[in-house]
Amino acid sequence: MMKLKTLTALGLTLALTAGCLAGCGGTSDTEEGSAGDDAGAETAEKTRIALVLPGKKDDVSFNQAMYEGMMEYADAHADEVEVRVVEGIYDVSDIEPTLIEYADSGYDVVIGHGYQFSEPVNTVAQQYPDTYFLLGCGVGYQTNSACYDVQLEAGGYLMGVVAALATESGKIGVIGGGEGSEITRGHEGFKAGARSINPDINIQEVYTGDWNDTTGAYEAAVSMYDSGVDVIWHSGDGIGLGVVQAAVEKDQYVLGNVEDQYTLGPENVLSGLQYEWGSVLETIFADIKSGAFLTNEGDAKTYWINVANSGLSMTELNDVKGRLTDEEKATIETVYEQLHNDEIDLPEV
Amino acid sequence: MNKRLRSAVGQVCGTILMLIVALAVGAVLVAISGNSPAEAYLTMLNGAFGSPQKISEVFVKLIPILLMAFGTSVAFRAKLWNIGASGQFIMGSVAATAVALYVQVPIALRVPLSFAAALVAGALWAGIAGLLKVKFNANEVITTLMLNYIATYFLLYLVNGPMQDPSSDLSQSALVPEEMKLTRLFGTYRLHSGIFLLLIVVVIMLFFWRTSLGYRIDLVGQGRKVATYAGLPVDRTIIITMLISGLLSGLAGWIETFGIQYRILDGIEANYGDISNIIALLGELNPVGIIASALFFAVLLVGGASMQRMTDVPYSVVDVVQGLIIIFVVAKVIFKFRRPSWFRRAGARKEAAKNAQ
Repeated sequence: MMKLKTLTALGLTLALTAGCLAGCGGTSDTEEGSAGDDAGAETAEKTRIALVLPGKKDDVSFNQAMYEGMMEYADAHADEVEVRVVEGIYDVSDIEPTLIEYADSGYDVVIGHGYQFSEPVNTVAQQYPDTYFLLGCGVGYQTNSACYDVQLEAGGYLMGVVAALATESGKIGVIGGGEGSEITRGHEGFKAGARSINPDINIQEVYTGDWNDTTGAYEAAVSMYDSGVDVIWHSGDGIGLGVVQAAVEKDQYVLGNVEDQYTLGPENVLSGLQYEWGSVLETIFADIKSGAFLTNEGDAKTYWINVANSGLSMTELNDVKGRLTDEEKATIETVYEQLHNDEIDLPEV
Repeated sequence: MNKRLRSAVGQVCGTILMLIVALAVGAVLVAISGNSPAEAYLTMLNGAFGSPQKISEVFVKLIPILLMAFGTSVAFRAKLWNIGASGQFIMGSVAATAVALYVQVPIALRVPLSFAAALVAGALWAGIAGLLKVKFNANEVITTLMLNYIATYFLLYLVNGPMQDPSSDLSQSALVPEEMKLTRLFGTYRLHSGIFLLLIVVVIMLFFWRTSLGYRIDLVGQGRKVATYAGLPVDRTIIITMLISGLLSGLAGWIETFGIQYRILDGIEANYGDISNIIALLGELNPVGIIASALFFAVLLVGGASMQRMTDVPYSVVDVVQGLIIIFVVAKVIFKFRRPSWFRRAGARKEAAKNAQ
């Protein structure tokens, strides 16, 4: 029996060797026996899209926004695309094998949603030149890959204006996940927006360094509120839940991000930003179809959502504490309008 | 030989039976989640064997978990419950990466230097627990577990502090020099030349328990008194055992760093330590058994990940199914461990039990 086991092991090794030698011979169109496509021949012509999310698709934030955007696109083009979503691919060591598996099993478009996907997407894109890759809020592109990103400095600017108008103490705060990427741009926009209302405003800023650190963000928010801050904008994912929780406990205002977070704290969520990826996905897939995707270079390799193209919008003001006068609300509307028309100089980072 | 063969058949049948039970319970869960169990399991199999790329991934996983399971088994056979494989793995990869990034000598020299650093770091990290055991009779379960925590947080500190990649904000170090990476064997597939090191270790382990050192370690496992009566320097053997055990995990760290990750990063250890403990027990601390169970776990890990990616079965259910398989299969092993003289006479007893039926 021992021998049998050894033989099995040997057999597997041989199978691998033989399989790989055959594989290297040039069969790039790997057949995939995925049991999901029982629609038969019709499915074969559909564009197969794999969306890899670092978190949960119902996180009321970064992941949910992309999930909903993707589903919106998929519903609108139900006869053209087939979407597979995988959640919770957060550890960098899990990312590369996940991307490889989708590319290798014949998916046409593979999407890595998040800054930490930057390096693996660029690496795997070079290895699978026949697959299209999309990278959310990351850096770097290949011929067959591109980025989509959010012009968060515009949204941050607007949130800064709202916070500066809504504060009574003259102290506001901003809490973000990882430094770098779109979050830093959002923070700079926030500071610029707040100072456009009150140049002497006191702004506290914290990066938790991690997008999942709910507890760390909660603690940061509590200590901000305790020090007299009465409005905080959070600009990242899982940590947002911690900040909202702190706001509810301390009964202070909080500004959300990515998704409408009103339901998380109806008494405390003053407003927030909402991302709509649907329209930018339309553009991307149109470019893939037309071939422009492959020939684009430089700046054209990043597809933006921003206030101007309505990819970034502000959720309804929910001023339970009655801190905003009608005049101030009008100011917010004006700034929103100006951002829409691209009339404000935003800080460059 | 005939007896051994029959007992082995009995073993394998028992394990397979448990596996079937676990898969059946898992199937119920998958069905409750509104998915087809057949589809889920087929995807799992396809995910592990469906294409050369997938088989390559199985071997990519096999390398660290088999090495660490060997390391664990060396200590376990001396009844030293070294559950610190993950800490030793981390220290090995940290030392190797530090040498690769900061020791400015020619690459030809830096490769063996980093290799030695990984082995020494892994061995010493286990050696600390061995020394504490010998000097203060400190329970190695506790010390190795605590050393795991220290290693994990030390790594976290390094990749967010002194060793963080200056060009990125992620919790990871810079990449090791291109020339130090292990060669990929089949084009873009991730299987790398580290597999040859594994093969060498496999050959060594197949003979290890017949060497005098192997016998001595086994003897220590029979109890301190027995070993002392046999004239063994027990303390020294304990320390040597721990050093070898840690060395193998350090080696796994070196291979993973230069074969797959090319850097150290938060989470590099990926639970390999816990899995390797299970593999060692499941393989009954016997090299052939360990190879078989490591292969099984590699398939389970890669297939399970594929099930997560390619079906609508929620990830938590995939996790639970994997856990079920582990519990059922390990339950069988624990049942066996409760019997007296479970080491050498296991075969004979199994046989007797069979005859009695």
